[in-house]
Amino acid sequence: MVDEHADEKMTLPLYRAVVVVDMENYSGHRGAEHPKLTEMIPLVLERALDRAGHEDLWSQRLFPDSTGDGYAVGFPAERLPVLVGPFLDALQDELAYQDGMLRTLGRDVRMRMRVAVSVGPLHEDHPDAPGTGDTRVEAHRLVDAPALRSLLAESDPNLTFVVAIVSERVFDDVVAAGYGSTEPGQFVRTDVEVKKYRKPAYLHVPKASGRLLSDGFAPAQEEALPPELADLAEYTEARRGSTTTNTFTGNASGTVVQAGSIGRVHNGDDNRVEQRVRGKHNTVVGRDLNGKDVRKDSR
Amino acid sequence: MSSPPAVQPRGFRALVPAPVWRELVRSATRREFRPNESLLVQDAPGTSLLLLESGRVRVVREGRDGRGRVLVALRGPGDLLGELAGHGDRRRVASVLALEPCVAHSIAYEAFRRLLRRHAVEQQFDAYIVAKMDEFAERSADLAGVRPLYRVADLFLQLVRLADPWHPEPLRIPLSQVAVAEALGLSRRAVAQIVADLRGQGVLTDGDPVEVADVGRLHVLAHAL
Repeated sequence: MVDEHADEKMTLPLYRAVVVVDMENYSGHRGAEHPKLTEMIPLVLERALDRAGHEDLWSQRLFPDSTGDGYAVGFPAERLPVLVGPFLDALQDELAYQDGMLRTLGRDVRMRMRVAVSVGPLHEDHPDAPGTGDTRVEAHRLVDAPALRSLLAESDPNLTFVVAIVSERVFDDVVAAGYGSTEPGQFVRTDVEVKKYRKPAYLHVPKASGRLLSDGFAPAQEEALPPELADLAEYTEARRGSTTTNTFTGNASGTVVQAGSIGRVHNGDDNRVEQRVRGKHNTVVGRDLNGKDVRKDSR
Repeated sequence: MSSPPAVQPRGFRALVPAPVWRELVRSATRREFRPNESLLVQDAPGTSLLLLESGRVRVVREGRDGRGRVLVALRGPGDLLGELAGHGDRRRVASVLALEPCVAHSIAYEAFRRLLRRHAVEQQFDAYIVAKMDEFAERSADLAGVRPLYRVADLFLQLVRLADPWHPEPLRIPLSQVAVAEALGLSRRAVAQIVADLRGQGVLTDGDPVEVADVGRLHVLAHAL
C-alpha cells in the first residue's frame, strides 16, 4: 500500500560499518581443506580484534554472514577508526602468525585476505533480509576490485597477508578527518569499476612487500587489446557477468530448489527453512508465512 | 575439399593476396596431423616447407647434451613452418609438434620460391622472416627475468590469439601443465601454483581442463613486465 511505503521512506536506516573479507584463492585449495578454512575466517577476525585491544567490538557485530570463501559483518559506525587502523594491522599479524600452522594442513595452504570497509545506511532489522542495502553491496563490489586483487598478486605471499580497500566515504570521514591510526598518505586512490558500481576508493596495505614496494600500487599500464582478442574478451566478460543472490525465508512444505549453487539449507526446530541461493536462472518454490505459494525466478 | 573461410588471415597468409595463398596450397600436398605428432623434426634435412592451414603448433628446440626441450615459438593458422630449409645444406633447427589436430600443406622449397617470384611477393616473404626474428629477439629479451606468473600468462595469451577463427574451444589451453613447465623451464610445482593463482583471480576457470575465463585480465598480466 502506498501509505506503508511512504512511512518507510521517511526514515533512514541507521548507519553501520560493513566489513567484507574474501580469502584469496579459496578454490585453489583442495576440497578437504575448505571447511577448515571457512571455519577459521571468523576466528581469525575475532582474534585480530583481540590483538588490537578491541575484543569488545566482536561482541557488537551485526548480521555475521559466512560466504564460504569469505565473511561479511557489520559493526557500529562509530568504531570505524578501529576497523580502518589497528584492526587491519592486527589482522596482518594474526594471519602471519597462523601461516606457520596452516602449513601442517598442507604445503600449499595459505590464508591471505582482501578486506573491504564501507559505511552507510543498513537494513539490519528487516526480518527477511538482515544486513542488506547499498552499503553491503558496496563492500562486496569493493572487495572484488581488480586493483585490490592485484595488490595480493604483486606482493610476497610470505609477507603480505592483508590488503584492504575502503570506500570514499570511509576515507573522507575517518582517515582524511584524522581519526584512527592511519594517515591519508598511507592510502592510494583508485577508481573501482565492478558490475554497475563505479566509484573512487582507497587502497591500503598494512605490510607491503615484493613488487608492491618496488613498483607501487598502481596496476600495470594497460596495453590495448589486439583486435583479434576483442571478441573473446567481450565474451568472457559477459560470461562472468551477473550472478544474483536470493534469500528466501518462510515456512515451507515440499520445497523445490533449482540452483547454480546452494549455500546452506537450514531446518530449524520451528519448521523455518532458510535457503540462500546463488546463480543465474534459479527457481525457488515454496510457501510463505501465510501458506501462499511463493515463486521467485531469478535471472 | 575447400577450407573453411578465413575470418582474419594472419601470419604469412595475411601478407599475400588470397588467390596467391590458394595457389600455394593447390601446388602443395595436404597433410593432417594429430595432437603431439611431429610436423618437422630437428636436425632432419629439409627441402620442403609447410603452409599451416589450421591448428596450433609448438616449435621446440632440444638443447645440447639432452638438456631438455625449450619452447621457441607458437605458430598458428597462416604461418609457414620450416621455411628456412631452402638455403644450401640446411637441417631443421627445431622440431614442430602439433598441439591439436592440424592441417598443413607441404611444398618443395623450389616450387615455393617459383610461385613467390611469379606473383611478385618475394618481399612479403622476406618481411615475414624478419618479423619472426624480431619477435623472437623481443620475446627472449623481454621475458628473460620476468616473473613466472607473467610468462605463463603470456604463453596462454599467445595460444588464445593463435586459435583458428572457427575453433570450437578457443579459450581452452592445448598444453598440459607438465608441457607448460617444460616449455618455460619452470618446475611442475611452480606451474601448478601459478595455475591455482590464476584460477583464484578468476583468470582461468576452475577445474580441468585449463581454460581461460577472463581474456582482458590475462592480457593485462601478459603485458605486466
